[in-house]
Amino acid sequence: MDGTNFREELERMHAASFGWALWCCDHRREEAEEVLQSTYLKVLDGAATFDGRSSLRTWLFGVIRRTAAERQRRQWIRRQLFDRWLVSESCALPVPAPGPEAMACESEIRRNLLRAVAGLSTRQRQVLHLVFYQELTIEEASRAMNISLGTARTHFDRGKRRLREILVEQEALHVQR
Amino acid sequence: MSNDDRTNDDRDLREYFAAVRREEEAHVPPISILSLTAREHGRRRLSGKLAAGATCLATLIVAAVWLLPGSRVAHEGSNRGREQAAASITSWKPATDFLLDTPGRELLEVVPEIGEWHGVVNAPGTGRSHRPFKKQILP
Repeated sequence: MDGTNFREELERMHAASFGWALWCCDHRREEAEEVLQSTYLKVLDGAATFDGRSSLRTWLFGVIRRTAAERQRRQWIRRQLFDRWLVSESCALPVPAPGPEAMACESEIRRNLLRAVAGLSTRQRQVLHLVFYQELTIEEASRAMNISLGTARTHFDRGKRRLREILVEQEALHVQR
Repeated sequence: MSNDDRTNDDRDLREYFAAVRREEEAHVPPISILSLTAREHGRRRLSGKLAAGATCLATLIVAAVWLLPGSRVAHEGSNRGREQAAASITSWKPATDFLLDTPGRELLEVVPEIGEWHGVVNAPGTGRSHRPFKKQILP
């Protein structure tokens, strides 16, 4: 695949890639933008090379997932090292609450789903996203997540079950109110 | 069981996720901004690497200039210092040394020879002078 085609493919998959980056970063938009930016940089600079063993989409999602994980690891280490002496950034500057505009834009469905998936493990969340949101097969999801197909299936089934339970609980609470 | 069979009964969840996807896709940042900033970021990273490399090189050069001849100077300096310290130790006299300057102290400093006595017999401060006593050697 030459450079021009590669860029076109990246552009075509941009929305899906951003959606995946957003979920890999627990819906922190700025972080997702940085992760996607770093991913594009890796891809365009040739630091990450596509070997054609899987589909381009699966491979790109794998790069995004690894980049997000690396970033989170670095942040964790930084927090562990510096929080002992310095006031942590998170304490000094609390995460700003979404503004009224953002709150208005966010639908109830999205709010409910995000609250529900917060109760799942990272892998369960990721496999459900890849299958339901990105419409990949479980096999493709397992490749993007770099886990075996069996493990992906287990996370998928357990995640689905748990997600349904949480959604039912949320609905019950909503009816009570 | 195929993947499609598995997910046929997941229509509710699929719809949930599809609604969220539609919402999120409406707020996707344009790729041009991201790739542009990615290139700038790359350039910044490259210049950062160059700056870090230059700093390392400069530090190495400074270390080489200071440490290599410096170590010789330091070595010479330490030798000179050691000699000075030794000299000061041998020439040092305690402040209370005069207290030991007692009468007849010279006797302790001279080793007498058998058969001849050159020692001073009069103690300082007594006022009496004695002729040096020559001992006769018996045949």
